[in-house]
Amino acid sequence: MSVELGLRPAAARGPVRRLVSRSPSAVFGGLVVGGILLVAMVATFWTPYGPLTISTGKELLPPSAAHLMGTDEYGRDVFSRLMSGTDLTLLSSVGAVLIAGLVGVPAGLLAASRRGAVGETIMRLADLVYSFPALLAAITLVAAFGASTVTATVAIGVASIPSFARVTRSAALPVLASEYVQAARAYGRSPLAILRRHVLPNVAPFIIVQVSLLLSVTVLAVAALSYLGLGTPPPTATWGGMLENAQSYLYQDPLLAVWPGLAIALSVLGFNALGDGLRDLLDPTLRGRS
Amino acid sequence: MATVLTLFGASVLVFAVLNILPGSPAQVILGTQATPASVRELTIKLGLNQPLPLQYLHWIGGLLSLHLGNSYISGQPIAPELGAALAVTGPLVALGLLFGLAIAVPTGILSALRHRRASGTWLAAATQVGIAIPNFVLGILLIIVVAVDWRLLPASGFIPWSQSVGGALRSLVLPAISLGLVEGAILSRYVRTAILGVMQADYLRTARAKGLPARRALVRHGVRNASVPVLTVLGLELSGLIIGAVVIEAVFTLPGVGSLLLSSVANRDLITVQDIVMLVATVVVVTNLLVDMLYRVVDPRLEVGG
Amino acid sequence: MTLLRVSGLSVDTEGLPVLRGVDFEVSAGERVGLIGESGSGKTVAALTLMGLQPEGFAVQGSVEFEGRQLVGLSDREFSAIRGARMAMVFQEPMTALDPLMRVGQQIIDAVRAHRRVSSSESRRRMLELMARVGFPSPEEQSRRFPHQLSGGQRQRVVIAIALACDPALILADEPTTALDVTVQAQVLALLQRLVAEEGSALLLISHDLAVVSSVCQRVLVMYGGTLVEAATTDEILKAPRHPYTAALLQTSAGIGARSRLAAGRLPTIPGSVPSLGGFPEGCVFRGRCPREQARCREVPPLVGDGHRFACWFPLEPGAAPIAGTFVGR
Repeated sequence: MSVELGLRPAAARGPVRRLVSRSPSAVFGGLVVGGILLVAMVATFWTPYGPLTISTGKELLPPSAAHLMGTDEYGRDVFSRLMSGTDLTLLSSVGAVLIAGLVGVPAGLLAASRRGAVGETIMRLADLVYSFPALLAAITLVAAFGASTVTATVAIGVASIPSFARVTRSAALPVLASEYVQAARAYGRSPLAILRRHVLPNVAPFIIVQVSLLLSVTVLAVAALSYLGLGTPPPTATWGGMLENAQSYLYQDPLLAVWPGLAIALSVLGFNALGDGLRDLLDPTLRGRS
Repeated sequence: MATVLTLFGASVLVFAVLNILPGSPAQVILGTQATPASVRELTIKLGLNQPLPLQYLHWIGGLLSLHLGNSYISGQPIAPELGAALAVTGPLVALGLLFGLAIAVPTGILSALRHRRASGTWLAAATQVGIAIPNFVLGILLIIVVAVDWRLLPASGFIPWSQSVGGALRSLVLPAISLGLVEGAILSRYVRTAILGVMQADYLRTARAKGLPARRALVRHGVRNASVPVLTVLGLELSGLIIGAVVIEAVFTLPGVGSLLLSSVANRDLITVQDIVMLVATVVVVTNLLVDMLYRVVDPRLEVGG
Repeated sequence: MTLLRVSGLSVDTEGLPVLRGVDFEVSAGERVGLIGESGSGKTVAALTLMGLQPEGFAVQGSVEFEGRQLVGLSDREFSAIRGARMAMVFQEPMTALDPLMRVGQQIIDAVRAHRRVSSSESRRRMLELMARVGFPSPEEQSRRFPHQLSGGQRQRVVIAIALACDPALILADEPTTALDVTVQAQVLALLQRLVAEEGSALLLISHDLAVVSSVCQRVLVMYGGTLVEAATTDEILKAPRHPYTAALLQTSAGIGARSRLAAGRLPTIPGSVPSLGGFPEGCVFRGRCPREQARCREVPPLVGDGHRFACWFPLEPGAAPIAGTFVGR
């Protein structure tokens, strides 16, 4: 039995508080993601030390005022490397999501508007790619083309196409079946104009949510690939690569592994929370579902 | 039928991707100092001079008759090596699944039963954090605490089953925990949603009206009904576990399928890569098929047609 | 002999009253109807009697059943009574049965909830129950899953579950509302026959006065979480005292309203049932009542001997029912 109480205690408060009370996870995720973006932007222009600058005699130093997170086995500043790694991780993840979106969204729209053989073929293809776990697809592509930032980005991007195509298709179907689209068709609007004027605006929110959720997946995949030595090759600073390096020094300096691990976990959590929160704000009926 | 088609498509895809580049595997095997004549000889010996479709048929025919071929690098047959690796990866995935279920079922049920109380909310929040910790990060953290600090369990390596079953199990404990925790956290949310659904179901009220106490009614009707939605995600979770094992084996330097795959990628031993990728894809697809069949067994409404 | 005595029963959720001070009795073997519109609190009343009110519903007052106080019992103590002495037939046969369990097993569960009998004995009892609720081949039909049965058949299974342990009181909450019209009459007749055979008392909850009056000896009229009138079926039909009951009679298509239906007009009660927490101070029917006066700001008590009603300005006994407002179509 559900009881509509009609009480809105939050309405009296300010807009920020209202947002916090309506979707705490969106706010938390937004703050984390904002912080990551800020670090990445700063890192493009400035880091405390050069991320590749080796200083002999300063190896494996503990955290101090000069080196906030200490130094690694070559005396490189961990904090600077982490900042520079943020930049690369974000570029790679965003690149992958961009690839997935640029192919997946049009494919999903096409599958939704052409219900016949074309749509069926697209969705079968999506299912086929979907049956490959993203990381396995990425490893296969790396095996064929060799390890590099570009290969890793493209591989993860390609493997993520189906999730975009599916979300876009299922969001576009009800819009295409709606009366106002039927009316627009009756007026003789071209299919492309209908897509641009009616379908895209309605599908956009779902795509934005999917971007955020997918970013958490791609960040994870980028880190995993560079950890496995299949991403950006060293000495460039990557979170996964730093983690892999640090593993050789677990007995001397376990903190070395904690920093990149924390960075990966926090970004995944942030993008995930933002996506979940946005979905809740968009569609309250989905609240509580996984 | 759909499964066979998917697998066929997957095999074409894998073969195409790995054979699309011009470079000659024979050149890779023999190294840069090899004479053009010896490269040619090996190319013919490996059958690499034949047109690609024929090579594909040769490969897929071999797979179907369980002849996996010989490694480009060592020249040894791939099958025994893969078999030895499976003896590590299989138990790792099984233990990971067990551990994941051992976490997901109790926490999911508890956070559903206490969904109105703070403890349930905290439990749900904890699973959210658990989902965000990548398995390889967790693995390294576990190594730092359990293996380095407490010196309780080995940090890496594997003691073969033939040498000591206990030793082998001990070397799989930390990897299995790292592997299972994330999947367990994801699964826990599905269990919670499923149990909440059962708790609000009318048939549960009917059961209580019969005189079954609340907990007993939930056990009697909840287990089966909640397992239906949970089963659907279990297939996905299993593929997550299998692919996660590749990474976890690297963290703990276990000589499993993942390690074999990664070293083959590093050596550009493409035929082995091709075989392993196909094996993993087959396992994932077949697992999903099995889960689908199990689903039909549990839910009688899907008996006919479906 | 009084089987059930409810006095001062109030139920609140989050500070809003759902039931307020409900008093009534049911004698052994008696058939009583509880009538009201949706939102009147009649379903909550039934669930509360069974101790199955939703989480977060606070119960006050007294429910005495077979001499035992039920309010405040633990779930375990209540479980010994539910199904054994007091059973319930639910409104939705589509969802009241576990979709993944064979219907025979669900009846067996009801038998074994209270009787320590062998599995062959409980099975025999299950087949007997299925035959009694009208399954021609219980042996075969008990192996069906709910989705393989029709709505009427499912409701028969629910009735069999309720009868499993020969309860002294059966609560039936809109047992026929979800069924096809042709099936409704069959199921109602079955319920009536079985109750008579068992000697159980029946509390039939419905929004339909025709259903209640065809089965029950006495009728309780509920509005806004309060009992506004209680009398024998005859008195309610022929001489209602509360304006709400009178209005309800006029809107009931089966009784007295045919002539107006023929004239193409449907009688309605002006206004609508307020939502929870939206009821006025004083008499709950205030604002919709044609006889309202200043005194109605005070809560009228449920008074009378035998025929009880809660109204300051009741209709005269035997007077023609008041004219409702008729909305043309």
